[in-house]
Amino acid sequence: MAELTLPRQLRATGQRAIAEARARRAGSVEAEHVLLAILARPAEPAAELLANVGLDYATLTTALDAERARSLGAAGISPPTTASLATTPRIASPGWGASVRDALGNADKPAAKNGRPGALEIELVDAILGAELGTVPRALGLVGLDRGTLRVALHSQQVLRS
Amino acid sequence: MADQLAAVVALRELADQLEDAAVENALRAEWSWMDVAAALGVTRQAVHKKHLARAARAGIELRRRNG
Repeated sequence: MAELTLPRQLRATGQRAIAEARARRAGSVEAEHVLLAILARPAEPAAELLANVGLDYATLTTALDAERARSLGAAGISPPTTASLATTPRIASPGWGASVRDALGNADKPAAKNGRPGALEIELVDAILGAELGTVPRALGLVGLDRGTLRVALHSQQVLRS
Repeated sequence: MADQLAAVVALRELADQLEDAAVENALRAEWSWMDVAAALGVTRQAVHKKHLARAARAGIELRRRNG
């Protein structure tokens, strides 16, 4: 898989996303890990805008747990306990997954050049929320969060803050 | 349909996590790399490459069990 070079403004977020993926022992860094990394800093613009409409770190964690349980349940499996899977972490960092590559490709980069703090991060979140399929839309749906509402809030409040 | 596809994603992740835990537990129980590989249905080289660094980091004594 080709290397992914993140824009300078997203590199710190990228490092935190890798840490989120590793903490969850994921095989790759996916959109949900990027979103968790962004929500983990509630004072930053994107996280603040999402928290105003009901999406914060704890809510996303709950949503992801529900999504995993439902997905495994579709195969007739109950999620195992964390203790039964306890192990020493892998050494290598997980690579970037397709959902992150897609979100970066779909992020509105011209719109991010508006000089607002965190503008590119906001556009990346918008692209993540714009995905129709995958773990993030399934997880948000399971906790009753409408992605359209989140996206509108992300941009309408952006305008109000300018 | 979406649930079935999502189940594939979740099962892949779970299988990886189970493998990590099972291999580490087997090595702690003094299984050889050869036996772990045979039980997983892969080559010794494959399981070695995937888990050796992690096992070393875990402090598992490996010197007498390289067979």
